[in-house]
Amino acid sequence: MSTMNRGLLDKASAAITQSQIWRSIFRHGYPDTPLNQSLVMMGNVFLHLHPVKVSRKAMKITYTWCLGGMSFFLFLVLTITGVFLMFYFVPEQRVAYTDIEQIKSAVAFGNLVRNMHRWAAHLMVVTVTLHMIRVFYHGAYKPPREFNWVVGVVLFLTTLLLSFTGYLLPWDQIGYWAITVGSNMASYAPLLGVQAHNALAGQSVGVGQPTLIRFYTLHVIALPLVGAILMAVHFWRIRKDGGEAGPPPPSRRELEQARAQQDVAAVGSLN
Amino acid sequence: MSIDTKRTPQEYEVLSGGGAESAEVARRGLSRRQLLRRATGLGVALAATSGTYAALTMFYPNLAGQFGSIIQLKAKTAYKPAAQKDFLIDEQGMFYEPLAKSYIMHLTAAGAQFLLSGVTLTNQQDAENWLKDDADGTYWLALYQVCVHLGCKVPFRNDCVSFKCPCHGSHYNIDGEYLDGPAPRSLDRFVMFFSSGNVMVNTGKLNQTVQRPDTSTRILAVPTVACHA
Amino acid sequence: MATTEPRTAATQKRYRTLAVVKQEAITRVERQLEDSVFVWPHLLVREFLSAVLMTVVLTITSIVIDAPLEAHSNPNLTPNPAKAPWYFLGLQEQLHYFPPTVAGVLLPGFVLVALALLPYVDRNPSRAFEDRKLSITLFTIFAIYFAVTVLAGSFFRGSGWVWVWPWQHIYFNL
Repeated sequence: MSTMNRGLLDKASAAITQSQIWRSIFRHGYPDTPLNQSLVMMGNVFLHLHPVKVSRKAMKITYTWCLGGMSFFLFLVLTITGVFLMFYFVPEQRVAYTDIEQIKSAVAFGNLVRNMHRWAAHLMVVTVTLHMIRVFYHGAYKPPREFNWVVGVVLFLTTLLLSFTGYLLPWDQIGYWAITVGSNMASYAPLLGVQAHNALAGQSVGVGQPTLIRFYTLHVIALPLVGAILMAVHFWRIRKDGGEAGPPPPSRRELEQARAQQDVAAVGSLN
Repeated sequence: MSIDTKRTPQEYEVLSGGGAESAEVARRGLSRRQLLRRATGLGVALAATSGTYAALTMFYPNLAGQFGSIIQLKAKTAYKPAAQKDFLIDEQGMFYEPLAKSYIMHLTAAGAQFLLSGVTLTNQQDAENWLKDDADGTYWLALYQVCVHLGCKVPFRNDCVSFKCPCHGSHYNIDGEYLDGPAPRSLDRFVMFFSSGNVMVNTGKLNQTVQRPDTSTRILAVPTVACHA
Repeated sequence: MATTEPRTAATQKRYRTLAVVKQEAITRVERQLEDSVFVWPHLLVREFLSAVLMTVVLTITSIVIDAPLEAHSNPNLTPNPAKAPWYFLGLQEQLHYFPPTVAGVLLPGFVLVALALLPYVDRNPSRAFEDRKLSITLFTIFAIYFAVTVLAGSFFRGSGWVWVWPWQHIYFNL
């Protein structure tokens, strides 16, 4: 390696990567050898969600379209932007709307962060739905992955509820009436309709301050927590159920054809 | 592992997992792989820096319109001037402004009992942030509500026609000048001005330098009424 | 000492579990080698690039298009039409035809439960498209039905939930 260390940058980077601080953080060399490529995946808490090696076919962009990964990434974006919005938003019906106006006009980068939060939320509903459709068409919900599909369905519901609860928070006309209709719909549930409505709205008629604080708490802590836990299970189960399913294997007819050809070849070699 | 050794691409692939291509470029000093790695690192660093900058900027409060910045109060006409002896809090002469955490004094020219005169008076008034309204000759002053002794909020007492601190009895005249008590100096005051007929107080500019007055610096006559705690 | 030793815990042979070896690990020695690659860099590069792409697209969208903020909520004035978030507009479209108990509660509940039970109902082990004609046809019909109702509710419904062509007016808010 000494021949390569010509430039100042090389010397500097070598000095950094050979320092005790660096080596105390990264206990292996740069992952460009099979050993280090394995060590980095096993030793890094963020990377160890992944296996060391992955099937080339299952990894193809045109197989997964990165939809699950993007959904997770959007969840992270929503968490970060959401935390920043929380610094300026008070879930109180007299100030909620003006808080949003303040975020839009008076807070540095506030409008950008609010826009990102809103668009990422819509996008996440899209990516999660598409991910689910993709998994169905590839038959990746079949054994041994059937439980992970169930977890995925609950995550899909969680995503919708997260988006829906966030809808009310600006306390503007569109959110207010969407939630009015939505919570009234709950009262049509058989048997426990009224109770469902009251639990959701926090009051017996209409939408008000109790509804706002309920939706806020669900939106910023309860549902994200449920989502995060289910995501942990979801990712864990991908690994435990044998990794990504990969493109569907040949059909029964194709298998039979291949077997027949093999038989023909075997018979041919006998003759 | 030396990369100078001649190896077949297959051998190199097995040994380093880096690909034959990188073995080729590695011989030419800075490898393409390394360049890519550094460019990526630089890009991530730039993104992280701008992200951190944006995050800190968003986190930092926008202080405009809050205490600590220039605050627009009511129109000048809302503050009725009065003679020194007729001050009534929030009615005439003295007005409390919670947003600016200040008392606004509005004193008529005729009702002011000045102990100084001429240039000495105007100099002393300038030093104590007095504002003379050229339109009607009245005097304005924005006093910070906090007692300079230990930080209590000083109320204006109509019965004393002066400020009397409930904590330790510091006593100030209507223009904040020290009268008696443990306070080390006169009340602090803000810079004030008018903007299109409105009273403006710059709560970021606090004058904390007005000392206990003596005969050469006392502007206004002390109140004649006795003030009991 | 001649005949029987008492079978105490001390004399009994004891076992401890040292490791659990999965069956496939010992029986299928000649498992076919998979065509696999290292996650670092091959998969991580793809994930990184898709995350970067997503961030760029999201940031540019957020700079260019402002998120909607309607007027302050007014309990005495329902906007016409009052639309739910777009992903619920399929349900709102159903509400136009069916009573609320059916369209608002039973139908979505049934869909969710059916989706969750799908892997336990669909017992066909094959994943090849050719072997799953029935399930794929049913799912496609279901997906298209919901896509169509969402689109209808989003772009083809106006005041009073009457049918409005998108070129006449679009009542849609994100």
